[in-house]
Amino acid sequence: MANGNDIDGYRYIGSGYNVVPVGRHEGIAINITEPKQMIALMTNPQKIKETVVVTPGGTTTFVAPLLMKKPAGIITYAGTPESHLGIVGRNFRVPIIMTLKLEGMDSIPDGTRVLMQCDGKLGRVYVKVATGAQSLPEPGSVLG
Amino acid sequence: MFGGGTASAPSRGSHCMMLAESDFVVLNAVHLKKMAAVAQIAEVTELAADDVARCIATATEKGWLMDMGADGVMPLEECIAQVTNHYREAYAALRSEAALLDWYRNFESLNQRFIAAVTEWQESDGDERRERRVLQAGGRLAKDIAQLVPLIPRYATYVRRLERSMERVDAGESDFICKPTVDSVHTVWFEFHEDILAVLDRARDTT
Repeated sequence: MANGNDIDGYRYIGSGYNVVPVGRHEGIAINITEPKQMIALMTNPQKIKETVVVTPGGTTTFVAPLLMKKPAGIITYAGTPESHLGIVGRNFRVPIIMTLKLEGMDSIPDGTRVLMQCDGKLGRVYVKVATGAQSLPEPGSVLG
Repeated sequence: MFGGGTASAPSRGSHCMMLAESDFVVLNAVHLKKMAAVAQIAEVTELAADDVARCIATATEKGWLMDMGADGVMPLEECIAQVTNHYREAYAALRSEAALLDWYRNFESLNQRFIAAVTEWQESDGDERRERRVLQAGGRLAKDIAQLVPLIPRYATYVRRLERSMERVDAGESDFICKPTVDSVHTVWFEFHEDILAVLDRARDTT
């Protein structure tokens, strides 16, 4: 279901606090909720650069080493830019959107191609939509 | 190293021995930094590099640390369990100390001011007035941590680290305000905050 927030080829899924004004960045979402997932990702530096790390909150300080490797972006569901994560993210100029409020979905599944629009104070997140079809289920639809 | 500890209740998936203090200091530095090389650990712990290297090599061999090459080592599950167990055992009595709990309450408001000051400094592209606010907070924290040294002697290294990083800012090296890859004021502050939270067995809030 398209809405006025969508951009060509992408469906808008929500917005949050933008940490660094770095424009538009894209990557593949991976949800990281514990240190061992972060360590697994750290063993593949090329993959990190293509990854948008999705993590529960601003308190997930174990993602700090990932920032040094310049992931495509970081999305959190809590926290504000005035935080340790915000400070470190600004240093590395990594796209970070915090306290993302999702619209029309409960989570961002691993493997989703995500676009982050990081301008001004409000950051916007989009998911790629396949041409001629939806790559993600519409809200309220039956999965599979 | 790795043999001089004291007996305690077994921690998750590990042997019964609490870490020797020197091993704890090294492994705790890795735990707080999330990833660190021998030289960095030696700098912040003020231990001899050879001793640090031996401790790191043994822990890596035991599967407690992951070798990340030039980036150093990262703590694996067993390292985190060992360090957490040490905090739990070594500081159990301190957790109910009224003076420490009062100290931490005061620290929380200083921490908010510090985070705001660093954020404003970053967003101002290095405004001098905002730099002074960061240094004022850093100086305040150094004095406050010094009050804890009788309770936790290893905290003296945090005082020295803060003083060194502030001296470098005063000398014109603005990287030492908050650059994550050096022992900046923010880096030291962040690690200290993680440390005191572990002593108190508390979770971090959003800052």
